[in-house]
Amino acid sequence: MSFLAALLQQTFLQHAVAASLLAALACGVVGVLVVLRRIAFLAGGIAHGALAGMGAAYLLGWPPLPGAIAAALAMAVLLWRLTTRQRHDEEVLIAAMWSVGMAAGLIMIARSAGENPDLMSYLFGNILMVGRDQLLWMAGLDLLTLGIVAAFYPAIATTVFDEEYARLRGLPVEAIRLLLLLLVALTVVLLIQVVGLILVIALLTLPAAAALSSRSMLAMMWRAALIAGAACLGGLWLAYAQDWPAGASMVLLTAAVYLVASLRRR
Amino acid sequence: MNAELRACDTTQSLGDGATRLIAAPAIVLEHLSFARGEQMVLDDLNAVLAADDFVVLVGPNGAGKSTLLHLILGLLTPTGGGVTLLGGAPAATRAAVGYVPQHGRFDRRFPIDVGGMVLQGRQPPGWHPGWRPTAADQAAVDEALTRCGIAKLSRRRLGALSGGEMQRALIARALAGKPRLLLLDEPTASIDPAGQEALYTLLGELNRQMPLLVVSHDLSLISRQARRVWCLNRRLHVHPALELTAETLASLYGFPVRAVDHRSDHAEAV
Repeated sequence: MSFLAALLQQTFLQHAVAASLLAALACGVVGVLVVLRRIAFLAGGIAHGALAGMGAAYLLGWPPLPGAIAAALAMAVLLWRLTTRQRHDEEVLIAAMWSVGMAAGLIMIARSAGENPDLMSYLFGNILMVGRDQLLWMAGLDLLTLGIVAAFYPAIATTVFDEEYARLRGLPVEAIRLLLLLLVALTVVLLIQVVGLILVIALLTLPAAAALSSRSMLAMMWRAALIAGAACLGGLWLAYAQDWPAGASMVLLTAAVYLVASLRRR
Repeated sequence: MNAELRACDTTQSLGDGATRLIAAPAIVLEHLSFARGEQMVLDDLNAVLAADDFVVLVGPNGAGKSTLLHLILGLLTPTGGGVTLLGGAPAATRAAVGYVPQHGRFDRRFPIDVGGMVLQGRQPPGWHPGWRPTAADQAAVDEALTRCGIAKLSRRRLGALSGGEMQRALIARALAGKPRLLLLDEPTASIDPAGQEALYTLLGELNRQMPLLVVSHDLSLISRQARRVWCLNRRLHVHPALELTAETLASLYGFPVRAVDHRSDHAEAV
């Protein structure tokens, strides 16, 4: 059965396509902020720290998604506090938070009684298993993320372009920095559903970086979202038709688009 | 009025308030000091930047120029004395300052065009959820672009600008916010001679409407446009621009300074 024919009949594929597009939207918009503000390393820390939240949720018998949201948001606040003043050991702190969060998550998952959660699906995503509830959560996260960006777009753009100037203009620069990290946290949780937390960082950076030649930040966001969406659907097709791992296929496709874009810019 | 103000330049002190009542000074430094730990970075600075002034701030690297700018803008708190900016506390009044940073520190790959960057000069302070630029904001942007002679470059990406054009765009961004004082950091550094020449003219024109404080090592700028020179090296000495001699600068920098006179196209060591 062809991919398109299957798509018309199979609910799990329809869910997977919807999840891909929802994730791509947030990933394009927030990915541009990550790339332009150069906080990819912080975003990675937030993504890996989210595992601690999922582990805690499992240990307490809660659904993992709220746990991941809470942990990612907490991680964002923590990393914001740690990097408020440009410290010389900033990188070390981020790296430590990154691995400590993941280690805590692994231990809590291992200690959780009874059910054996599918660890691999957290780490590498399992888009073919996305259910209706998860889709609703993802749509809510998308609305929240895009709504915040839309409401404060000019202030965010001014701050990302020139923080010193934004501060002089009286913009709440530090609060906007926190807002960006919180947006990253929400997006990371969205993307974990699709590609898993290990590969999140690829989707948060490569589509945006491939769209760098745009005329404005807004245009770059649309292009990045389109690239991410196309790569996710392509990855989905590879997963269905060739039985490749979906998340990994999406990442490689995104990387290919990025490579072509950088070669063309030369 | 200008002649009167300039006549008292050489004897300028904080005591001559009578003549200054005509127009409030843009910047007043009173016994301003700043220490980092044990180290005294700025020591008892006293100076006035008048309402129609054009001051060039000179000093060797590490003299405290950036620190002084940050104090004037209220981004640092003095450890002694104080700064009055546009008649108030810097943190409250700095939004009325048009700040023009060094053009070299921008990422040229950033996805923004000249018009977009200048529009950021209209950004209101605070959160303002849902704020979008209005037609009035766009009109202010167009006016600023025209004034800086770069109206044609409005749709050009930053990465495609020359150093001189970038500097003009940054000045336009500052002007779009309708400032009452312009503060420029090394505007003529690493800009080709033709671009520098055009900038001197532009700065001179702007000075007809507002006071300027320019951090610069550019001696031509001092001889062409400046009325006063603030020589900073931990302490501040104020000189009328015309009286600034090579010896003064040499003693400030600790080595002979080469003056370049663009008008005669000859470089001479002084």
